[in-house]
Amino acid sequence: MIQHHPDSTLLAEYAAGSMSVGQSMGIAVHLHFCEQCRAQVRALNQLGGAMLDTQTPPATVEANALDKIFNRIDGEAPPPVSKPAPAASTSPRLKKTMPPLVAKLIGNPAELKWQRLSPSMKMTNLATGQSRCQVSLIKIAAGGRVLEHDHNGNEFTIVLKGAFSDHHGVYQAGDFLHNQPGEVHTPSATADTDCLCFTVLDAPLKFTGLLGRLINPFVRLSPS
Amino acid sequence: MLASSLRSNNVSSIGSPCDTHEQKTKQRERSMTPEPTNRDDNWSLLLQRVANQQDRKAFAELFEHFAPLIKGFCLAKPVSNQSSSLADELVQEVMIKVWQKAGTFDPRKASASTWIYTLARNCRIDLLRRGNRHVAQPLETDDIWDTEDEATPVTHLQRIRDADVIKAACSTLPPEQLKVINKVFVEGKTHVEAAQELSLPLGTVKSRVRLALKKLEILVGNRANRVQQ
Repeated sequence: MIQHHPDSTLLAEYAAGSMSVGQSMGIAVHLHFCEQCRAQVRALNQLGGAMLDTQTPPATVEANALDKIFNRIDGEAPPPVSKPAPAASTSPRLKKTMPPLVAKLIGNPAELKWQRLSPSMKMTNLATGQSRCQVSLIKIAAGGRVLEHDHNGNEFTIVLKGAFSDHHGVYQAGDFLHNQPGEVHTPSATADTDCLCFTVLDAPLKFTGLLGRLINPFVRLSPS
Repeated sequence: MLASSLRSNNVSSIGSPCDTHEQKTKQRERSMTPEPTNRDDNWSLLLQRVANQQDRKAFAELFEHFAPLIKGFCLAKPVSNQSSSLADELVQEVMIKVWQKAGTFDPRKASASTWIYTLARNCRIDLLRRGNRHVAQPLETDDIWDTEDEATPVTHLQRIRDADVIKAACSTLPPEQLKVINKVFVEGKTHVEAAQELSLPLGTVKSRVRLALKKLEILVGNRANRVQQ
């Protein structure tokens, strides 16, 4: 049962398409797990439809627009009814265990370059084709602790597998955590199993502990 | 939970989709009408005729209503190199999608204007992402903004307010709330950008959005209870 959800204002930005592409990936991963938030997004889409229909100033379209469309329709092969098959490079096992969006971003798990940040924590940045946010997978070993850190910007964390906790509560598969500047936390994975998270950062983390302060000068945001 | 209690009594609103909303005051009335008449249904029927019979007359009617709105929607979010011809290109993209994907439109899941909005939104995002095309794009816009919600079977759908009730309710929003919703949904601004443009604290913008969503009664589940007046 999912306990932690994005705020309605975040879902509104997502449904409006005004949120950055990177952050929207984080929302989409949560939506994969959460029927309640999918219902909320459907309702927000209704608002989008209402705004399109009643609040958008209409603009005159070019005179022959409809003819052009019919010409294109006549010139094109019948549309494919089903979606194209996902890229062949995605491993079948991954497709079963991960949200489709994450599986596509990972592609071939063997090619991921994991970077060890501490004895119990590994991270790999995913290539997402946008330049605003750093989108990463974080692995925390069972019982392992992440260095205490503050946030220079927004951090979205979605648990993919296992669970972690901080002083606010326990986060399990599908749970969504939004951290903002001034929110210091020290997440640690639960003792029984490793924890895998999908994270989206729009500014570098700020480590606050003694050891953390030593590594801060080397922490950079790497959008890809 | 939200279902029947949110259905407004809009029986008198039968008519062409172009009718004006004359009974704003009646929105507050609630009824248990099981299948309220929905003016948006006319657009839904046209979409279904496009899907089933490739009906070009029905498509032309949809075009006449939605194409100018889609163009206005595109022009409302200025991008670099924005031009009227780029907006016309977007109209083409969206309306071709309407034609091609009409078979996937499910009136039980969304109203016609909502469905067309999601197509227009995704095409506008595509247009903005195109600037970044020199980098490999592992994900399509539709991978991030799903327009079909295939994961949810119709039987599990929580019923949401009629599109027409929401449309009518929009015009009852206090102007400062409508303005913020407009910035976010029509102009495609983030809350941070809206706050800068309106010279308001970010917190004020967010609370106006929350209050508007509450007033429109589109907050689902226990979100509805969390908004403070």
